[in-house]
Amino acid sequence: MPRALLVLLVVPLTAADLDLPSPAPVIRRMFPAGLKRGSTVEVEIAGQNLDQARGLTFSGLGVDSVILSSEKTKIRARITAEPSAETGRRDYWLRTKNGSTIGVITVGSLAETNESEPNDDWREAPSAETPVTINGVVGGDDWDHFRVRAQAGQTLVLDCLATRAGSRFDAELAILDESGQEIAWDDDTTIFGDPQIRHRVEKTGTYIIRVSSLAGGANATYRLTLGDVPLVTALLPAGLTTAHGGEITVEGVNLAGIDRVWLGDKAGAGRVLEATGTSVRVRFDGLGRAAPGRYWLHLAAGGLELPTPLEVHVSDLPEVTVKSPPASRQSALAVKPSTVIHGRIGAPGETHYFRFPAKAGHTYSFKPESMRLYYHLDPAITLYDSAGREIAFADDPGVDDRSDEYQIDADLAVNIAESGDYYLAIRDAMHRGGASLIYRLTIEETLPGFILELREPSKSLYANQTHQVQARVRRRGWTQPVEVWLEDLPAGVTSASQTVAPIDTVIKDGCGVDRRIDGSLVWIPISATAAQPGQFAWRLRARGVMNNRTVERDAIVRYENGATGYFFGPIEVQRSEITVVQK
Amino acid sequence: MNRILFFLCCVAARAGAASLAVYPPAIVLEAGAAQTILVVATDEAGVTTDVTAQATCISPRFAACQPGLLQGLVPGETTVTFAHGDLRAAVRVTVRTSAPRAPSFINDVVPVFTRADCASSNCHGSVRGQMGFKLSLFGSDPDLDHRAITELNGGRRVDRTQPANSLLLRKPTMQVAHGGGLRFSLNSPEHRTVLAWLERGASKDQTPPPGLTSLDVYPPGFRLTGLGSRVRVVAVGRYADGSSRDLTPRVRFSSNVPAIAAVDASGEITAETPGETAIMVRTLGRAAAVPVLVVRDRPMTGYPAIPEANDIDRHVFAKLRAMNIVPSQLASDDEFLRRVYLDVTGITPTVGEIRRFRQSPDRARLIDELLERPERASIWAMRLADMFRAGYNEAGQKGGNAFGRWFRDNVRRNTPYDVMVRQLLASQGRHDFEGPSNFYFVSREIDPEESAVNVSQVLLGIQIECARCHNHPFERWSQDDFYGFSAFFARVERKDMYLNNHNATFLKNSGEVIHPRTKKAVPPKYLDGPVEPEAPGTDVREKLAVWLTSPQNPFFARAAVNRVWRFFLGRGIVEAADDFRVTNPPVNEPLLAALAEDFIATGYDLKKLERRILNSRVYQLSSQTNPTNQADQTNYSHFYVRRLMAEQVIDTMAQVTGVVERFTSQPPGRRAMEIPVLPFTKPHYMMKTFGRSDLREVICERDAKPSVAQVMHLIGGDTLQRQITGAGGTLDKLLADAGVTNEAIVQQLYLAALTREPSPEETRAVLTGMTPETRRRGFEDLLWALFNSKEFLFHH
Repeated sequence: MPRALLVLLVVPLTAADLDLPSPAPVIRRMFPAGLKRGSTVEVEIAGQNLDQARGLTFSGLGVDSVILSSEKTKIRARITAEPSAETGRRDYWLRTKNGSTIGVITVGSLAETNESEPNDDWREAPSAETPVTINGVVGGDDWDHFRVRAQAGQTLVLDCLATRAGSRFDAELAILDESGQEIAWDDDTTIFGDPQIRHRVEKTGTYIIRVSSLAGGANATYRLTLGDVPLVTALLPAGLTTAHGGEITVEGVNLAGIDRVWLGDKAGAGRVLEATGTSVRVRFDGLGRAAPGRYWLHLAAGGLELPTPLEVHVSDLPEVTVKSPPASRQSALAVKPSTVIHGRIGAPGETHYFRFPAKAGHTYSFKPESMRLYYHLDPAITLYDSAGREIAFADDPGVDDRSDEYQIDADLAVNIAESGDYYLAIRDAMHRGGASLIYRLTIEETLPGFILELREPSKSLYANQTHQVQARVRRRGWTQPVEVWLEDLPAGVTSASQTVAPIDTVIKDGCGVDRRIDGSLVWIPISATAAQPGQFAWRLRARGVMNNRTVERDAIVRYENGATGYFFGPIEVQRSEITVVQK
Repeated sequence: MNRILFFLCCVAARAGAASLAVYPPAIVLEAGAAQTILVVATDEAGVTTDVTAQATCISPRFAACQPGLLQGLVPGETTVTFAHGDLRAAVRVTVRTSAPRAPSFINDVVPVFTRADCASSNCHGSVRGQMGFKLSLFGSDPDLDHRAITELNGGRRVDRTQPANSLLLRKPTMQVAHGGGLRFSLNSPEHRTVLAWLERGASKDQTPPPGLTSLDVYPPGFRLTGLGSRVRVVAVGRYADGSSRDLTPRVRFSSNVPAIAAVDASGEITAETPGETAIMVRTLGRAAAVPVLVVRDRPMTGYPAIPEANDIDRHVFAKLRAMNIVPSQLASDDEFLRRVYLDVTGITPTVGEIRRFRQSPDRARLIDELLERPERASIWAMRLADMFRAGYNEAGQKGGNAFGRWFRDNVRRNTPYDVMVRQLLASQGRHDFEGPSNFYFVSREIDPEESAVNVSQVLLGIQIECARCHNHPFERWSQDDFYGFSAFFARVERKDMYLNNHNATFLKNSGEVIHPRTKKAVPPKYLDGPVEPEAPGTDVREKLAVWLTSPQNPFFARAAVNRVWRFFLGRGIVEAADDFRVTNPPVNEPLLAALAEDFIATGYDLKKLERRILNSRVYQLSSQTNPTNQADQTNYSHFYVRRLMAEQVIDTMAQVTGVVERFTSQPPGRRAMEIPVLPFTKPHYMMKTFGRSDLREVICERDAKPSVAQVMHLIGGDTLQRQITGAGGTLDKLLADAGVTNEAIVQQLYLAALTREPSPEETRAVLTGMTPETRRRGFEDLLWALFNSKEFLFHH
C-alpha cells in the first residue's frame, strides 16, 4: 500500500496571519556541497528569500565565509576551510535580514573537482585523476560519467554522499568496462539511498564511473569520493565509553596503511594496534575529556586521511561487546542495567539474548540503534520474563515520519511488574544476517520521563503577527500532563504555555486512515504585537510532575526536514532563533 | 502418467510385426462383477484398430467373456486369452470373493449425477447451482451433495415413503418438467442405482467407503487412422482398500475438441478430422485424459530418414513420423545465425559477425561462443523479470532494478535455477536493496493466497486459483490444498522502512490462513501432499523451498523446462506454460519428460539446457513448410514464426542504423533489453505497443500478438523516424565514404537488418530512380521498408 506522506501539519490556528508567506530563507541546494580543507571555493546557495543575506556561520572550527552576492533565489559565497579544519559534515546557519535557517556542508580531505556537462554519454566521459572528490548535480534525464584508470589488484572505492550530505538525491552508481558493460552497480547502501561500491579491480585498464538517478533534478547534488582510498564500513563496538575508552575494530577497505586514529573535537586519540587491508584494531585509553555524545572518528594513512569519517558514540555507561553470539536464552549474556551492548547479527536468523535483573515497579528502556548509525540491521526486540513468556515486542515504533531517528530503530520502555531475571532478545526484523548488521543496544533502568522536541530551529515573525510553534512531547513511561512554554522571548513577543495531555496524537495518513504517532504534537501560540525587528535566541521548555517528582526539560532542537534533505537528529549546536521582521 | 507418445513409441517399435493388445492390462474384479475390455490390433505398418467386437475369447472357468465385457464368476486367478486372426493376447484376471454391499452414496450415487452431466459447471454444478439445486462440481464434495439432495429446501427432493416418486428421480427422467431435459431413462442403470439408494433410506454411507485413489483410463493414448474409425475408452477406478472397479459405465466422457474426435456416453471415440485432442474422463472430482491423434491416412511409405542431433530430435521426430509429418529442411546458415543471435543475445548479428561466421559456419561452436556473451544475461534477466513480475507495484523501478539485476548477475554466474528459486521462496529484505525480496511483492499487499497462486503458477505451472472458492473442477486440487498451500505464506508481510515509499518483505512473528468453510486456521500443506507442521522459530518456507525444488517434485522441473523450451521454440510443450493439468496434456510427453530429467541431472543448469535445445535439429529447422507440415502448429515440425520482442526490434534497429535510441531515465547507449523496469510515468511508446509493459501487470506472459497499433507506429511512429533519419549513424558514414557504392550500401543494410544479401531484383528496385540529391532519402526509405518488413519484425 502506498504510504503517502502522513498529514502532520494541520495547524489549528486559522487566523489570516497564518496565510502570510514566511519571509524566512529556505535553502534548496548548495553547490558544491563541500570543499577540501585548506582550500577556498565559491559556492552557490539556491532557494527562496535569500536576499539581504548577512552571513554564513559554521559550527566547529576552521571554516569561514564571505557573502559575495545575494538575491531572492541565489546567494554566492566564498568559503574557506583552514588546513586545520576537521573533516566531516558540519552545520551552517544562514542569516538574512528576514530570518535564518540551517544547512549542512562537508569538509573533505581529497582534491576536489566539479563535474561539468556534457558527460551524459559514457563513450565521451571526461577523465578524472584519482583519488578525488567530485561534486556534481544529476538533473532530469542526466547521467554523469567519469573515466578513471585502475590497476589490477586495487580496490576502487566509490562513495556517493548525497543524503548524508544534506541532499534528497537518491543516487545510483555503476562501473562500466571499456565496452560499456556494467560490471558493478549499486543503488542503496546507506539508508536513505546513498550508494557505495567497493570494487576489486581484476584487470588494469580504463573504467567508466556512472552517477545517475531515477529521479534527478536541479537540487540533486552529490559528492563522489573516487579512488583506492580508505573506506570504513563498520565499527565494532559501535561506540566508546568515557571512563575506559575501549578497543574498536574498524572494518573497511584500503586500511592497510592506517597509522593514526583520533576523535574529532580533540576528544581523544587512539593507538593503532594492528592494521590490515580490511580492518584496523584501535585502542582508546580513556576519554576523560570527552562529554558523552557523537564524535567523528578520523583515520589516516600517512598523509591520506579517510575521506568520509564515521560517527562514533561515546557514552558514560558501562559497555560490553558480544564476542560469540548468545544465541539462546540458555546462553544469554548476563548484563546489568544500565549497559550499552554492541554486537553484530552475523548470520541469517540469528538472535542475541541478554539476561538482566529487574525490579518490580521500575521502568527499563531498551534502545537498539543500527539504521540511525547507518548500519543495516532493522532491529526487532522482544522482552521475555524468566519463564520465557513474551512481555513486550517492538519493531517499528512510529508511523508518521520515518526520516526521524526515533522512527527508524525500535524503542521500548517497560514498567516491570514482578522482580526477577528478564531476557531481552534482538534480531533483524527480516531475519537477515551479515557484516553490516551491527547494533548498539542500551538497556537502561530509567525513571519515567519525556522528551521535548522542536523541529523549527528558527522562526520568522512579522511585527504584529500572531503565529505558532510546533513542538512534540514523546513520553517514556510518563503518564502525566506536561506544560510546554517558550522563554527568553525578546521584548514585545508574547506566548502562552500549553498543557499537553498524556494522549498520543492521532493523525490521518495519505489514505485517510487514522494513525497514532509516538507522542503528542502541540502548537504554542506566539505573537509579536509590540516587538522591534531583530534576530534573537529563544528556548522551548517543558515541565511535568509525576509521582511527586518534577521533571523539567529543554527542547532538543532538530533539523528541519527539507532544508537538510533526509538528514535527521539534533542540530550540532543546540540553539533556536526568532527573527522579527518589519512588514 | 501414460501418454500417447509412449503408446505411439510402442506402436512404432512394433511396426513391421503385427500384434494384439488387451486393456486393462490386468484385471481384478469381484465374482459377479464385470469389466469392460478393449482389444486393439496393430498391423505391420503400425496402424491400430479397435477389434474388441471381432476378437474371440478363450474363457477359463473363473470368468466369462461377452463382446467387450469380461465377467468374474467364482474366485480365482486365471489368464484369459483373446484371439484376432493369427494374433493372440493374454490378460491376467483375478476374481475375488464378492461381499454383499449396500449402494454407496459416494461411490455409486454421486457418479450418476456427474455422468448424467447434472453436476457440470453449466448446470447444478455451477457456483450458484440451478433453480435452487446446487451440487458440487463433478461430484467433488459428496457431503455437500448429500445435504443438497436430502436436507435443503425442506428435503423435498427425496420421498422416503415412496422413493420412486422422489423429485430426484422424476426430474432427470422427465416424469415432471425439467429444464435440463432427460438425463437418464426409467429403469436405466442410473435410475436403478439411485432408486436402490433411496429405498434404503437415502442415507450417507455409514462408514466412508474406500476412497477413489486413481482413475485409470485405457488406452493410454490412441492414433485413429482414417476418418470415421472408432475406439472405445475403458475406465478403471482404484480404491484405497486396494480394490478396483470398472467405471466405464459410470464416468462422464467428453472431448476437448469434438470436431477432431467425438466421444459418446459409452466412451466410444470417433475420428472426425485430422488433428490432436484429448478425451476427458471424469468422476468423483477426478479427471483423466486420453490423448487422441487422428490421421487421415495410413503411415507414409518412403518416409525420409531424418538426422538426429540429440534426443530432443528423437522424441520430436518420432511423433512427427507417427503423424505422417515430414519435418522441414534445416534452416540455412544465415537463417540459423539470425535466429540464434536473437535468442541468445537479443539482437541480430552485425555485418562483421555474419561474415566471420560464413567463413567457418560451425553452428555448435557459435552456440558455445554466444552462450558466453554478456548480452545473454540481459535477455535472460528480461525473461525472468517477466516471469516473476519484477518491478510490479510499489517496488516500482527501484525494486525492479534490484530484482532485474539480481537475475542478471545470477545468470552471469550460471546459478542453478533451483538455487535461485530457493532464495526467492525464502526471501526477506528491503525491496530496493535486496533483489529477491521483491518476489512476494506482486500485488497491492503481500497476501498469502496471492502468494500461493503465484508460486504454484509461476514455479510449478499449476493454476490452483479455482480451489480458492471450490474444489478444482478438473484437477485434484481441493480447497484444503489451496488454503494449506497458502498457509506456507501466512507470515509473509510487507513493511515500511525508513522512508514511506521504501518497502520490505519480512516474516512476521505469527500469522495464519483461515479456511473459509471450516473457519479454522489451516496448517501448511504441500500440494497433493502432507501437512508440514511449523516449528516455532523456524521459517516453514524453507521446507517448502526444499519440497518444491526437489528432483522428486513432479511439477518443478517440468514447468521450468517447458518455459525454457517455449522461449526458444515459441510454443510450450504444455501451452499455456503455466497451465499444466490433466485436461491440458503436453503435446509430446516423452520430450517433456526427457528435458525435465536432463535438467535435474545437470543440476538445474539453464545454460546446459539452452545449449541442448539450440544444438537440436528441431531448433535449427527452417520455418519454410512442406505439404505435410504446413498445418502443424504444435509439434515443432518447422520453426514457428513469431513476432520479435519489443526489445529485440528496437535494439536491432538501433544496431542497424547506428543511431542511439534513448529511453526515459536510462543513460544513452543502454539497450532496451538492459532496462529491467520502465517508468510508468513515461513509458517508451514503441516498447509498450510491442508488448513491454511499464509495470509488470500480467502474470508471466507478454502479449506477443501483432496489432494495428504496432503497424501504425511502424508506418509513422517517432521511433522509426528517429532511427532512419538520425544523424551521425551508419547511413551518414556510408554516404560520406566516397569509396562505398550505392550497391554496397544496399548490401550492407540488408545484411545488417535481415542477415542476408539483397537479391538483384531488390537492389535494382532500391536504386532505380535514385539520384545524388535523393540518395539519403532513398536509403532512408530503404531502412523504413526493411524495418516494416515481416522478415525483420518476425523471428523465423
